Amino acid sequence: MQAAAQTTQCSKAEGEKRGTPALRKDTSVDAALEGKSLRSARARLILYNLARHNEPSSIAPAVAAQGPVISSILRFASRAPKLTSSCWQPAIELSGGGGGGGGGTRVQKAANCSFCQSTDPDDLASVDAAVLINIPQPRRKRFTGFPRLPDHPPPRASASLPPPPRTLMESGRLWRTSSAAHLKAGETLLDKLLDSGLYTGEITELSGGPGAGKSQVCFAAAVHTAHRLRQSVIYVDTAGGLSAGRLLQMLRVQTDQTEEQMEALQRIRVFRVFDIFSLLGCLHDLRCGGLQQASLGGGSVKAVIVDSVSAIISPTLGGKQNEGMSLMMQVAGTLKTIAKDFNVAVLVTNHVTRGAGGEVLAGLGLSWSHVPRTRVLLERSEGRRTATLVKSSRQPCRIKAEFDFNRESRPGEGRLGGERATGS
Amino acid sequence: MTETGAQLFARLDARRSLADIEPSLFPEACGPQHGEVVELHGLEGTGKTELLYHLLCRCILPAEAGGMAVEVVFVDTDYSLDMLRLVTILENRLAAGLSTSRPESSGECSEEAALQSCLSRLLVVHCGSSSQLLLTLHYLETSLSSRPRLSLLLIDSISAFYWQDRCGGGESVARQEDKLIKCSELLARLLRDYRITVFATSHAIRRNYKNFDSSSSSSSSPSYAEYEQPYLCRPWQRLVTHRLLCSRGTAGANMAAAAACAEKQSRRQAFTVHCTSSSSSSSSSSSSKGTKAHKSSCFYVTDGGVVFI
Repeated sequence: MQAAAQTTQCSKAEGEKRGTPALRKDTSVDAALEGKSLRSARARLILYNLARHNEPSSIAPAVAAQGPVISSILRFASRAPKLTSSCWQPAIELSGGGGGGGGGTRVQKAANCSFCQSTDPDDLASVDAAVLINIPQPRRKRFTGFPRLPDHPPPRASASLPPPPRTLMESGRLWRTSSAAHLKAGETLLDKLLDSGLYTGEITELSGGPGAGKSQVCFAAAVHTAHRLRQSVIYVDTAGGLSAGRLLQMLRVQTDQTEEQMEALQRIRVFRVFDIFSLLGCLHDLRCGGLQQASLGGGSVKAVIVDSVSAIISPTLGGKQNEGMSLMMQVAGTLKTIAKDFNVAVLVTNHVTRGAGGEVLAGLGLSWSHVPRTRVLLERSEGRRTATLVKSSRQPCRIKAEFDFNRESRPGEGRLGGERATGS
Repeated sequence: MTETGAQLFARLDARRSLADIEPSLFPEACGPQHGEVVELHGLEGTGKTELLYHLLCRCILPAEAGGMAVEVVFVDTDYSLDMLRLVTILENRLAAGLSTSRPESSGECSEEAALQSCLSRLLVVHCGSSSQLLLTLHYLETSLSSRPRLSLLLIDSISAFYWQDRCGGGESVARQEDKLIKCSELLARLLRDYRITVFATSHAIRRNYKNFDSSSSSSSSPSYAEYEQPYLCRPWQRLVTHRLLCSRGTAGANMAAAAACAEKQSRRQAFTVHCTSSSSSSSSSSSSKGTKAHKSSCFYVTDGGVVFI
């Protein structure tokens, strides 16, 4: 009992977590208090950190959870004649211990303990050991109504659709990607691959092994959107690969003026998230009004780039738990909703795995494969980079294109080759 | 709920049968009758949504352009409805159809008006969760009773919330499948009461390792039998009468025809659809109730939609 009391005195600031296990182990307190009569009992109870409580009976259930020992002491104390209601505030100190405690223990004076501040020697002398319990106050909030749920857009049922646009350009918001100057050799080819660019309202996926150039293509797309098209970009960086210096380097190739460079950089809004829950939170905030706030520099948000969505989803997959798959489909659903409702183009990157036959496949499995509308596979071998269109609803066959990330533009470099569809 | 005889007649008889919606897809005389459900199952990129667009256009186009002029409800759970693509297909087919039927009056305004009338026959609903899907199906009942020409319900896709439901249901399988079971029961009631037809897509996410043998692993295209494992709840599987398994590449049976066409259009990716119909009221040679009819067909995708080989 002595040791337990001392340790709990030392950890005065810790709270009940430290104090309770020590108390739980020691059942001698209970036994010690049982034999004492009320009059001669050297039990004083001072309530600590329960300033709001005036009723001793209401404390008992809260403290009873801390252990059977304390509850028995409380029961004991409520019958103690000397205790008045003023003694209940502001601290509880457990004392007692009979012969084992003796006088060797010191009384720690709680700072805002009225009992301890009392100068009545009779009171203080009767305290043998002090155990400070930090009992959390039950939070009593005034009921202000049910918590506000996030505003989900209600399911839209349109009786008739608006009249179709005269040109295809208007409702699809066709726009071009990645025409930074040092991608010039491959830029037109990459755009041809994607059927003249990234489409709004759908998810495009870039998959590739490490060093294949996925992040570089994302940078190029962000820079192009921010500078040429003067629209805002939201860049969600999960792998820590984004550096403003690289973006500035890409911008310097496009324009020499510092104001334009700064303006373009200001239009790129970066979010760094490193786990799936913060990604869901970030996307949710964007959905619930963040996209309007994020539109800086006059343009609205036109692209949301999530660099390496697989880096945060793949740790949650595997094993028998379904939670990882469910979180992945939630991310997919949120991205699709953002793309459709706000008419933005979503670009995500993915890693690659090997299939059963040894062929290179995009990662994250079969369930994710239904999510993006267009998938491009980037590969690098022998110094040449190739991009293959794996899935598209516009280009029916698998087109390969070669591109290059060099500073000086090499016109005419790169081939556009088609493959006969063999179902591979 | 009471209804007059006229209303009963209007409810039961007015809807157009869609048995002839696409004869090249379904076996002989086994097209989707009233109250039947067709499920399109397949991997990604195998043309399920394209087939839905094809069927959709077939329904909403006017009779001159080769359609049936019925109304369609499209329940989009995947957010994959691409209006650009749909309008492209409609324009191509209207241009082809109207120019052959009325070559003198094919002006721009009449095409525009035709497109408007086509699109007015389409209702689109987006759903974000399975509870929203359930509520949407409840809401559909009022639409169905007020529109006698509504005969087709397209759901793309019914398996979009599978993983969310599985996680939300915790450990008990009954709770996991609860919402989809309720949707299936509601659909069964709608099919029985209003005699509509339902086409639904579902993603293939389960690999059937039992049928997987090493000889087929060397082939480049995965055969449909590998991925046809049904995983949705039992009430839904009981509801499905026709199952279309979609895959990429051409199956062996149609190799000759496919090769001939493939030479002409060397850049087309061909898709295969294998249909399994278990309709109990088939009047063909199968006499017992449990037999199934099969058919395979190939198609490729053009700007004007799906073209069958």
